[in-house]
Amino acid sequence: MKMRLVALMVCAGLLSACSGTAPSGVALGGSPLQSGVGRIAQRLFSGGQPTVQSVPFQALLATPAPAIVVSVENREAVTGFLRQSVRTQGTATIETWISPDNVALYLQQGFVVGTRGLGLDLMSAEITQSAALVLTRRNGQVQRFMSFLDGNDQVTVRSYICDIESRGSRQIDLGSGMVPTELMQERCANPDQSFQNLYWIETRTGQIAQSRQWAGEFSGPLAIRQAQR
Amino acid sequence: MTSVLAVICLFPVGIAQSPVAVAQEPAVFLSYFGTPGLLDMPSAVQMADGNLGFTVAGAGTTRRNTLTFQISPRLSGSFRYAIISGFDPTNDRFDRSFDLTYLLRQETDWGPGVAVGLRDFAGTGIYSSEFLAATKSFGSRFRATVGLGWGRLAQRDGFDNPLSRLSGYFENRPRASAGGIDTTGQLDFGSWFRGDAAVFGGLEWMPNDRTRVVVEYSTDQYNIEAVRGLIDQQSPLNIGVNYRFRNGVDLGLYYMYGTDVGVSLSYVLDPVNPPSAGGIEAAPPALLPRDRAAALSWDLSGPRRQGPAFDRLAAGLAAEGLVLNGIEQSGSVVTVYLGNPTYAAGAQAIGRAARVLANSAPADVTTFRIVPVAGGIPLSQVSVQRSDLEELEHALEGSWQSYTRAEIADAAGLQGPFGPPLNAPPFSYAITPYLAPSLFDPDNPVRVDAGIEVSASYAVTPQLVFSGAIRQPILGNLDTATRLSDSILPHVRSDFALYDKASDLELSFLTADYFFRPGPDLYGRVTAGYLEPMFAGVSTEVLWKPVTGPLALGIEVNYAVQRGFARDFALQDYDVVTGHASAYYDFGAGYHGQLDIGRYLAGDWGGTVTLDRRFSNGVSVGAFFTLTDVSFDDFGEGSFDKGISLTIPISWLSGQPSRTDFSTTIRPLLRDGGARLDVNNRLYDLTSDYHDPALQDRWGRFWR
Repeated sequence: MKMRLVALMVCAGLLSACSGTAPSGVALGGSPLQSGVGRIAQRLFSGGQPTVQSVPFQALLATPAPAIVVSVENREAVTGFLRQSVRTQGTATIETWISPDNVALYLQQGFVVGTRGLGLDLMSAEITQSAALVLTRRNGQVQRFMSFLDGNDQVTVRSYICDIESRGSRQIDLGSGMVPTELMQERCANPDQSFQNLYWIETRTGQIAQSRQWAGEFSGPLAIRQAQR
Repeated sequence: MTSVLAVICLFPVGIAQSPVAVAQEPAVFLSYFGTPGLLDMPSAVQMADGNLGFTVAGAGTTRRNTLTFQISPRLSGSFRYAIISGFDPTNDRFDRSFDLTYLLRQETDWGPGVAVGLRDFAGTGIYSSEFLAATKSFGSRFRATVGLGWGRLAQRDGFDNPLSRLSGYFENRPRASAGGIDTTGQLDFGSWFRGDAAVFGGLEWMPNDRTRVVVEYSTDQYNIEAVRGLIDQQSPLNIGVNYRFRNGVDLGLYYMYGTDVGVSLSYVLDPVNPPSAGGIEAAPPALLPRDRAAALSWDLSGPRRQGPAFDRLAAGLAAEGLVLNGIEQSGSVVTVYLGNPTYAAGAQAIGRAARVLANSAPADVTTFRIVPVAGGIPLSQVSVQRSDLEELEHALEGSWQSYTRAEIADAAGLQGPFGPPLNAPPFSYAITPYLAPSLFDPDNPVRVDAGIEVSASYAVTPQLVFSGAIRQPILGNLDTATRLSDSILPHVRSDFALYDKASDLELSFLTADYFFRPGPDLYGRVTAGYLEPMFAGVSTEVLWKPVTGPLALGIEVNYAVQRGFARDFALQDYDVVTGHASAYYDFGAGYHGQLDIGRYLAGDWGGTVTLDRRFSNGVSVGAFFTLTDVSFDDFGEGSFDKGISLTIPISWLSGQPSRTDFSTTIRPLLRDGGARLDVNNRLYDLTSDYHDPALQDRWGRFWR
């Protein structure tokens, strides 16, 4: 497993979630994210083992780069990511986030559009229709496209029909007090796959404050939340 | 059961993903014969295309080790090594057999699948039999099989062959080769589907995806074993239970013949579903915004290239494990000569180099021409537009689009300023563990040495490379072989036991290689020194291989002198001029053929036919045979050289980038006829990673 627990220790002292005294509870009864975040906090406090940090990650540590905490729920692995770069191409602005152990995550307006280094990686995703509804907190049906690398080095594009609907307002704790959000749900399916994404949209900014997004059959859902350094 | 353990250890128990069973069809289980089927009886079930099944099974006095490969969706082939204790008056019998099964009809909702098969069509004939089997599933939990068997599969309840209505030819089965070793290795087609036939059948119940309960009515009476007092069948019914653990290992327990308890372990490896999940290597460098990347400048005109952009490029490539062998700029085109000691997929090395270039090159550069280099010669050139990279890095179809927009061409004219590495030392070395198995010696069917290998190479000039390796065995028993060669040919290979006994610290090879490009689509090599563990000499090769296209042609001429048994610097008296004309053909869909015609190490003339199934990810399974002017009698046991080859990239197992493969050739017997020199750096292997179809097949890794 690549994203080892030891990697967590990197962000001790880096992320606010690490330095608080209480676990970052999330007011989301029954949400899968709650256990994910609970685990993060639990593990972050559980001792300081040495770790190997990639050179680019170390370089970013010296900058005020924004941070997120990502939990790969399938593997019970949690780690911190720092934003390495932002690049606009056409109408899309893609952010590259990297972890201490050389995993990269590509986010577009907070939506996962690529992973590198998780295995059977998500190579790209077309999420503009989903983003249009989720970020404006509207219900509706959209198409979503995702491409995956397989074990034989082939890239396959998969298409999904997704239903997006609001599940109402939620208060979440991002480490600096409770933040009002609206929880948006995106349920996607094609003939042989189905998954559900959750987005907590910050009411004040209209941006994704935390989310739980499916990154493919191998990686499963990623729980992502903003963190303050 | 040391052999069982050793075989098990050869494959990655524990880290494999067990394949997810498709809901509709019952899971596939391997039989006691190591093929998909019941227990002793076959069925019309086949594994998924490309799967490789390993089985070790034992009951009573028989142990069977079987490798089955699903060659195509309908055709499967097996190699089996059976050990029958007490078969011969003073010895155990070690029996090698090959099977082929072809699915005539795929199962449908309304009708069964139908398969025809040959068991042991080219061995000693102990298991010689043929069958026609029909299998029908009922839901995902039940499966029924009924079949018609000939030969060994018609020993019980045999009746007149229905085929004899077509021709009297089928009435009687010649018994000539059964149990004898005089004709081993030759096809027994003279007896196929002849003689009595019998009806066998069985039922399988899969209470869940991991478990199978099976009962069969067997028409194999084990007559050959029974007359030797090895078995005394009490019942035609065999029953068994299989359980597949989460790591994919399948444990079977059987009650056979009314007398014996049997056990089997099997594992099915799916080449396209690697345990490494397609690689968990470090993320590639992300493209930076062009204004951030292109603000730097470089000076490439002088003998010392310099400038912050050049420094960033050299360091960036080094960080990706890539070697910068040279760089030149002509207008808006920058050409980079790229060494790739790291990535198995050429496209991945090129993709990463392209992004490093985009993040380093000054603003006036719009085209990146990346020239993969090995042995100091350019292997191809891949031109990528900077704007395409920016547009496609996150595009939904970015992989295919970037392939179609890349220009891939021969690099024959490009002898540009490239030389020793600009970002790495010219000397490299590696210390690695090694495993050297030796199979099928009747005294000990699995021998193996494990030890440490130290290899090093030094590029005197870019095209002239000195390299060598020494091995020190640490653990193992290769040197315990006592069986000496009885070959009447020059002992070019069959003295392997003498080598293993006489050598300790051994020189695997020590050579000087010189590579050159004689012209467009042409590649040349001269290798001199200690070429391989058993031969020294000079090897020369020229290869014609267009960058695209299925066909390549090569000529190799060698002068070889046999090395001393101690594998030091000593030589023996035997020398030979050996060489081949070779044709390589890519049939598409991963099927790859090779024909070599020429003179072999023992001075015999003939040809080798090789057919491989090569998966894009580097796993390869193949079979070959060699026929030469050495008669079957003179060749000795086995009649002619043949075998199976298996290549598994280390990266397939580990998920980390590596250009090293675990590669093994399984020969039923290693003898002296049809033996080829085993020289390193053959040009086809050197070049093909950077030509189509390999580049295209692995282009999915361009953005990885």
